[in-house]
Amino acid sequence: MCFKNLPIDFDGEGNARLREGVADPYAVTVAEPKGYVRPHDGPGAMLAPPRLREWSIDPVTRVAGALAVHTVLDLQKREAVEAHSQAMLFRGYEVILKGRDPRDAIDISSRACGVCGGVHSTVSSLAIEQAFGICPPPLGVLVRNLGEVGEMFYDHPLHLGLLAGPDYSTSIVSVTNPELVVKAESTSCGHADVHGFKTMKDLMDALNPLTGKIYLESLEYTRVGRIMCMQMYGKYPHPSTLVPGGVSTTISTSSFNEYYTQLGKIFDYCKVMAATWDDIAEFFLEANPAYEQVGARPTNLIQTGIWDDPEAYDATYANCNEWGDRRWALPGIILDGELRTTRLTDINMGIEEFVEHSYYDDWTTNGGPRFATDPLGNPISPYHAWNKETIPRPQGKNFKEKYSWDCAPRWDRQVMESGTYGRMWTTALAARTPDNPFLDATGDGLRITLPRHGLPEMELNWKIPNTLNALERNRGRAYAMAFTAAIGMNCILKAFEYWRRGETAVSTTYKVPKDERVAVGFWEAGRGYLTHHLHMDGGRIVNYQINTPSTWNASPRDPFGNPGPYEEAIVGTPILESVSDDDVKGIDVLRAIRSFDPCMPCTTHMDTGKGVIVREVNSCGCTLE
Amino acid sequence: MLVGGIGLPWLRDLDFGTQFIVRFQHEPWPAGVLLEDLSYAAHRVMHRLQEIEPAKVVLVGAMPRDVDPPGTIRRYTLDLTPPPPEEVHERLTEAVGGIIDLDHTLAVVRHWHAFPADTTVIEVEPADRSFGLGFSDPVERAVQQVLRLVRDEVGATELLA
Repeated sequence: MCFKNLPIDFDGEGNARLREGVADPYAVTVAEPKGYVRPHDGPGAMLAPPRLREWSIDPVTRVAGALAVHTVLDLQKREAVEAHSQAMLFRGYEVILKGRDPRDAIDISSRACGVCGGVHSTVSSLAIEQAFGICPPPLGVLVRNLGEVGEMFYDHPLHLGLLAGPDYSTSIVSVTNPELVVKAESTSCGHADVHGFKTMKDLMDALNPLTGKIYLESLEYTRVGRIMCMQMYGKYPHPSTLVPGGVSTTISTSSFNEYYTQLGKIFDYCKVMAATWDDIAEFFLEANPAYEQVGARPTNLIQTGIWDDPEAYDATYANCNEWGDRRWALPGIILDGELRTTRLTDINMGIEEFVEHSYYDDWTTNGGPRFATDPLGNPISPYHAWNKETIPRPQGKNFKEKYSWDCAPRWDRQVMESGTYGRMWTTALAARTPDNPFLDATGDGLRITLPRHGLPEMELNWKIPNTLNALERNRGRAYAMAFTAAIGMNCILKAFEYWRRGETAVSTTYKVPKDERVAVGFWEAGRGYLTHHLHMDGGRIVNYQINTPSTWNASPRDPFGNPGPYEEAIVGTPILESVSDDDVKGIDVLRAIRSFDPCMPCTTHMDTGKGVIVREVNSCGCTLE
Repeated sequence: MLVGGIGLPWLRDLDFGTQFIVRFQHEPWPAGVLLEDLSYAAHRVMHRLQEIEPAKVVLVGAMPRDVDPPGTIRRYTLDLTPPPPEEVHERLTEAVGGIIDLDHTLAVVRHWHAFPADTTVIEVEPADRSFGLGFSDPVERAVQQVLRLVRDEVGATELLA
C-alpha cells in the first residue's frame, strides 16, 4: 500500500483513485503542536527543576541569517529537548513569476539559489518543455546531465570541506572534547593508504578552517566543478544556456575532452573524501557510540531523481514513471527505511504543503481547488503545489502560532527529509541502475568503481546506514561524490557515442503554446528533492511553485503537530561535550543541523512592511517561499 | 586591468555594480581593460582573479554603510592587509552558501592575496534597497561621476563622451 494517511487506493491496473465514501478526503484536523513540556508536576518537580538552557541560534552561523534555530537544552539529561526551525526571509519568486512568459522562469528561478543555480534552471526547463510538448535530442539530455554532475562537484566539496568538516576539526574538538584530540593522536587512520593522514589527529588538523589541507583542497575542487559546468553551460553560476528542449551551448569535441580532463581530476578527490569520512565516522562512533544519536531521525526520505537516460526521457508527464525509473539516481519514497515507491506520479500525488505555522494565509479557504487531479486523472489535494497560492502574511509570531517563512511540505502527511544520500538510498534499495561498468546498486548499498588517476582504480562500497544521523549524512555525501563521478563517466562515454555517430544536436525548436497547460519539473539539487510546478495559460504563467530540499528539511510543525526534519533531528540529540555546563558550545546540535547542508540564505525581498530592509543578501534561498 | 561590478540582482540600487557593467561594457575602453560582472560568491571571484591575473582591479558596487547620504560616492585604494582569519572563515562560509557581498569578496580575496597591489574600490551609498529595477534618483545622478572615476582609474579619461 503506497498511501497510509491519504485515502488513495489503486485499482487492478494501478490507477489511483480516492477511496469511496470519504466525505472530505483531504480534511485537516489541526492538532496542538508537539513539543517539550516542562515538568511542573510530580514529586520534587518544583524543588529540583530540570537544568534547562534556552538557546537561540540566530543566525545559525554560515547560513547568512536566513535560518534561526531555537532549542532548549536539558543540561541535566545532557540532550536537546526542544527545537524550532525558523526560515527568516521571504523570497517571493512565485509572486514575481506570475503573469510572465514561462521562459523567464528559467533565468529568474536560477537566482533562487546561489550555490546551485543550474539545478533551478534545469528543473524549470524540464517543467516548461513538458508544458510545451517538446523533448530535447539525446545529446541535449546528456549535456544537461554532465552540467549537473559538475554542479554537484561545486556543491559537495564545499559542504564537506568548508562547512561540515570544521565541526570535526582539531580547532573545534579541542575546545569541546579535548580528550578526543588526545585519543586522535594515538589512533591510526584506517584509510591512511588512500588519504595519506597517518593518525586521526593529522586528519583532524587537515579539517581546520583556512589552513587545513582538506579545507584548502575542497575550496580548490569547487573550481574544478565550476569549470566542468562551464564546459557544458558556457557560463556558471547562473547559466543562460539552459532552454526548454535542451541547451543552447555551442558544444564541440574539445568541450567533452576538456570536461573529461576535469572529471579525471575528481576521481582521486572522491576516493580521498570517502576514505576521510569513513575514518571520521568510525573514530567518533568508536570513541562514543552516542554519536549515533546526534541528528538522528526516522529514515523517511523523499527524492525526485536526477540524471536522465537520453533513450528513455521524453519530457511527458504521461510517461514520467517510465523515464523516472531510468534515471541514474532514482526517485523514491522511503518510509521507516522501506522503499515505498519509485513512481513519480505517486510522489507527486502525495505532496501537500501546509502553512499552519508559516507566515502565509491558507489559500484553500478561497474556494475550491483549481485541479482535483493531475493530467492523468490521479487525485491531488487542495494543498498540492498545482493548487497552491503564495499569500504572504507575517502574523502570530510565536511558536504555538506561526514562526517561519518556510511552509510545511508533507508526503502522505508524513515528515520527509531529502538529501544527496537520499538519492543513493533509493537507488540502492531499488537495486537497479542501467548496465554500466562503474556503478552497481546491490539492494543494501552501492558499489562504485572509480578509474585510475593518480591513485589506482578503486572499488568503493557505500552501505545503507542503520541510522540516519549527522555522521551518516556526511559520510553519505562523501560517497555521493564517487556516485556522481561514476554517473559522469557513464554520461560522458554515452555523449562520445552520440558525437561519433554525428547526432550532435543539443536542442529542439518550439513554439510557446497559448492554451492552458500544467506541468511539473522533477529534478534534484545538491541537497535532494526539487520540483517546479507550472500552470500557464495564454502564453503566460498563471501559477509557479518552487519546492526545494530545504523547504522539506527546514519545515516548521505541520497542522498535525509534527515537527519538521531539522526539529526532529535536534530533539534527542545528546550533548556529548566533555566540558562544564557553562562551557557547552552546542556543537552536537550544530553538527545535527549542518549535516543537512542547510541552504537558505536568500536574495532579497525582505521587507518589514515599511520598506525597511533589515539585511540584504543575495542569493541562495532554497527553503524560502 | 579588470573593472568588476558587484551587485544584487533586482534590488534596485544594490544592483549598481552589475548594472554599471551592463550599461557601459560596450562603450569604448582602452585595450587591455576588461569589464566583468563579478556578482557571485567571493571565492569564485578569487578563482577568476587567479585565472586572469590583472595588473589592476577596480571594483564597483553599492554598499549601505549608513554613514553618508544616498548617492555619496566613496573611492578608496584597498588596503591589502587581510582581516583576521576568524572573520575570513565566517565570510567564506557565507560566500560558499551563495551569498554575494562586496565585503565578503574583499576579505576572502585579500586573505589569499589574489588582488593586485593596485586595487581600487568605488562604492555608492544606496537609497532604495527594495525589490525592483532601475536606480533611485540620487544613485542615478551618481552614475556619470562613477564612470568618470572608473575611466580615471584605467587611464581612459580622454574617452569620456
